[in-house]
Amino acid sequence: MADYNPMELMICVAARNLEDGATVVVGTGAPCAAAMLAQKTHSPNLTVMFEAGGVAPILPAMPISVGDSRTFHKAIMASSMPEIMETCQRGMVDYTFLGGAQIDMYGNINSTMIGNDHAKPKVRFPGSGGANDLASLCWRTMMMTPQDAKRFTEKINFITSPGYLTGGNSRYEAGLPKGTGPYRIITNMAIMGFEETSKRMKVLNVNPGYSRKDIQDNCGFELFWADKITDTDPPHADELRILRDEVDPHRYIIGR
Amino acid sequence: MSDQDLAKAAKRVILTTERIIPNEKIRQNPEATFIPFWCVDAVIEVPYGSYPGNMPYEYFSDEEYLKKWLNLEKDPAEFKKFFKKQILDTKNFYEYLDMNGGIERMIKLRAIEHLTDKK
Repeated sequence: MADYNPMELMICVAARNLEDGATVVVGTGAPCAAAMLAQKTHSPNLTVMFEAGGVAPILPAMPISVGDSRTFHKAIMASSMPEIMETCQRGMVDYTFLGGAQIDMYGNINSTMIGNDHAKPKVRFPGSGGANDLASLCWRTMMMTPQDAKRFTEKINFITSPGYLTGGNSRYEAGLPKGTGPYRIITNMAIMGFEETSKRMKVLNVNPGYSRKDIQDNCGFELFWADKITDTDPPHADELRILRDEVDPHRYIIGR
Repeated sequence: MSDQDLAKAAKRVILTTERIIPNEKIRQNPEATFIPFWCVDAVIEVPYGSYPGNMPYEYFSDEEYLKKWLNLEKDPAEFKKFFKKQILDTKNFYEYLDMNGGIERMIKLRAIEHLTDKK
């Protein structure tokens, strides 16, 4: 039996993708936990920013909203939302994390609505918030999400945040900065990247306890597979200790 | 957040503040001013006026109350009752504040904001 849960695995994997010296815009919840974990392990000089304006806080506790006072506790700057988005636009931000109800094979994300009529949605979500700006302007967008065939779908109901649009060069032809785009999709089952020319979602690593069949069965479109698929390195004991004892001691995010 | 941009973009700005301070204090720290007077139409002194939200350096948001609010919103009829009692039928902001724990609650939220809460 594994001694960690899927959320802990996703946070540990996400944290490993944030190298020392990088910049990342995070929201609250799992992405913030990943950034805090990275800072307390291999990336002490990771610059964490919040979309409401906090820059490089020394986080005393997990913030509850992207604008609460924790997000600029002992920070180097308590700026504003336009300041953060302009910083992204200037190409100064390496990573961001997004969530969503639907994602397609090109990494386009829907966090706006389910249904066919925008005026009368079946379900209305709080998106976009800052999601579109961040997905458009940060170099690398990552997502942590549970995986199932409804969420990973051939056709999403609304593009809140552009991924690689219709694949190939379409994202850049649409005017978004060249070299930006979705980077890693981290699920409970696998870690995906994107194929270089087609920009289709491509499985890189398989998480412990899952098979290739599980991963394809829980995806509504055909996945590409890397030439060499390796097993995901499961969370290490020291990562779990720091995550549980220091990052999220009340287990708000990693659960009970 | 984006308060300074909103204030500059808005046709009318009504500002509520924890406390009104002498003009001299503003002049000691001009770099701390984000919203100049010509953007502001009215000023009202409302201590604890951000409740149940967070006022940085003063008090944290009342997460228990907000959680209750969010849960009530799932039932439109129940929420209507709650909204009428809490907002529409209260005489003023202080009656609302008293209804939700008053000054005792604010002291607790101040401790959370200042990270002095030892629980």
